[in-house]
Amino acid sequence: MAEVLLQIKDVTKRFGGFIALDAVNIEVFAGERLGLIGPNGSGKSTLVNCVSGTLRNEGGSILFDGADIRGLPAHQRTRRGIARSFQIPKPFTSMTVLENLAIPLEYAAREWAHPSQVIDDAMAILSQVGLEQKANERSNGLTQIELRKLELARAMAAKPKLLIADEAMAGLSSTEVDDILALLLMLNEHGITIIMIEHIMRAVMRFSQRIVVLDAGRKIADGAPEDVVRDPAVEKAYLGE
Amino acid sequence: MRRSSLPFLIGIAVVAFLGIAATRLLGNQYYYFAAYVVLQYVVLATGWNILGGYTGYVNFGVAGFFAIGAYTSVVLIKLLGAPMPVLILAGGIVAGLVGLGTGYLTLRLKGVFFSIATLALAIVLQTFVTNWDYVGGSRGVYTIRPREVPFFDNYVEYLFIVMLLLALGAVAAAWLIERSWIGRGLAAIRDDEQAAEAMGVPTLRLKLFATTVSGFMMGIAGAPYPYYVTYLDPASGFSLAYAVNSVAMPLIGGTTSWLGPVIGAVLLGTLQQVATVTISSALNLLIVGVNLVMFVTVAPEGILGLAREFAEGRPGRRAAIAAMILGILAGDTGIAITGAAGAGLLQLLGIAIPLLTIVGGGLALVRPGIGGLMMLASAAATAAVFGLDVLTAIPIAIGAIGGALAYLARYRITASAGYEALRRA
Repeated sequence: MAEVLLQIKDVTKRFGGFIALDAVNIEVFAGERLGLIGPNGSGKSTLVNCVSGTLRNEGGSILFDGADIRGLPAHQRTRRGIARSFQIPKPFTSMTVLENLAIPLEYAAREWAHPSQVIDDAMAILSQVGLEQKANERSNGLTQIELRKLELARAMAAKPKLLIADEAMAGLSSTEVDDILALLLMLNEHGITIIMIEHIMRAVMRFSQRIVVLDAGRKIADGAPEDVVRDPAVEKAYLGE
Repeated sequence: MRRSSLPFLIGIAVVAFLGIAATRLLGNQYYYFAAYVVLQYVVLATGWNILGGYTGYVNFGVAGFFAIGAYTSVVLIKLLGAPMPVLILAGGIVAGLVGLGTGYLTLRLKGVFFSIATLALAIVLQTFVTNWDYVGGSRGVYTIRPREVPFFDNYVEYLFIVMLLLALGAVAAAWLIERSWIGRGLAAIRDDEQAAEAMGVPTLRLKLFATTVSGFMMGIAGAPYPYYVTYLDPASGFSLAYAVNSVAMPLIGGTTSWLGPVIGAVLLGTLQQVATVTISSALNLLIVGVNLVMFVTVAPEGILGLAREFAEGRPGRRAAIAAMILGILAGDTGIAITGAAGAGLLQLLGIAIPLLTIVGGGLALVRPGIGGLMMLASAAATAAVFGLDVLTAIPIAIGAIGGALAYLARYRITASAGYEALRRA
């Protein structure tokens, strides 16, 4: 088996008296495509926020690339190679599409780059996602699918080892879902480990090599996609008894 | 993305040269006295904009930082008789440190809560100074100007040049920050702080940088102030006018670029100085208020935003933008000219009619028909009440042209809408 890139060990997160994550253990291997599913409120986004540094977990530890990252603020985790896209796209609205990519290229990508190099890099990423025509448009004029692509392009610009795609396909048509899927598969082929959080089962099943299911802050299943969907505990979480 | 920096540097050099040349040519001391205030607002507005415009954190405590600069000078003058460069550096450093400290304490607050905290800071500082006897307490303090300064015939000219250099320095710093990776990081924070952090931007460190630089600039604006007024008391040092003006000027000019605060400060600052002479200093804030309301409601990106739209927009929209600018111009010059006329009812009309022109100008952008009508009506009213002479003809003509343009805009917009409807049918 490949080496462990991300190790989530006994991670616990409370909001007041509510336990959002209860001693969750997940290992993600380098180069893997992991699907993370669960009903609404099961703690998926909270887990993403704890891994990316937006929230601090009270208990347990998170190891990335062998180092404990628990005390690090979000921007330093991004520099170490954890990039995320947001569930609701958060573009920098006063900037053009190109300038949106310049931010992670200048701040997160690890080596210092000359300004013209930044533009070249940004254009290369934009043509990968198919946004090169929009490079000099303001990002507040984009359509929903374009915003989703920009969200991913911006995460790619951070040159991550691990990409967490938080519901990157919510609200898209089925051909648009295929677009995004193809993009994520292509990134994975380039060696980026990907955690996909998604409600669209068709996409998750096609994409994932392994699926982890959360319910009410606990991990209830972890395994191959075919096995996980047949797991009685998973059926119970989604459909009740 | 990159533009040549040569025009900017030449511009800075030309302004500096013109300022120094002016002191050799212009004799009337009043001009330096007035220009000093305008330049002081260029520094204050530029400083405010580093945090408020670039980073998106609205600071209402401008007066506090300004007064820190002024009172630091008072202390150093009384204690050591320190020379001007020391006063400026010290005032800037103390205000910058207070900015840094305030940032540490308050930057976890978002939006309006941050603003309230900064307002509170100014009040706390004012109370502190009011009760500090060494700097005069509530009685105020006199500062005697040095009898002579080298190279200058008199002290006001010297103060003018000092403030001119400070203004050029502040603008150059803002320009540098805006074009650097720091400026792009600040803009990312303004647009979406969470996304900025997730994209590797060290948001806390950049925000602390912004509060410190912003505080420093406001502090240096206040440092020469004790010599300018010669009598300083807490009420004037902590005047609310500093906060109102320093927020309004960038908003009217445009907050996303270094040029916005400069445009806003020069326009409003000059207008206030003229109105102070022609009518009264009490009217200053009314003028700022009306202009600010107009811009915030119809053109929140300020004059620079309008200019950008004008460059990209369609003919109908362009005419509407031109009409708005002309309406505001006519109204503002109108106040300065007719507001001075007579007393009682005549003066009231002299202020009310131009205010209507400003409102009409603002309306021209959203309802060109009504706005145009208002501008034409107030141009006619100005002519009827004050008669036609060389001076009143200026606002009347500008207002009438603006009104006509608004009508053109209305016609163009209806025509293009009609064309669209026909094409679709």
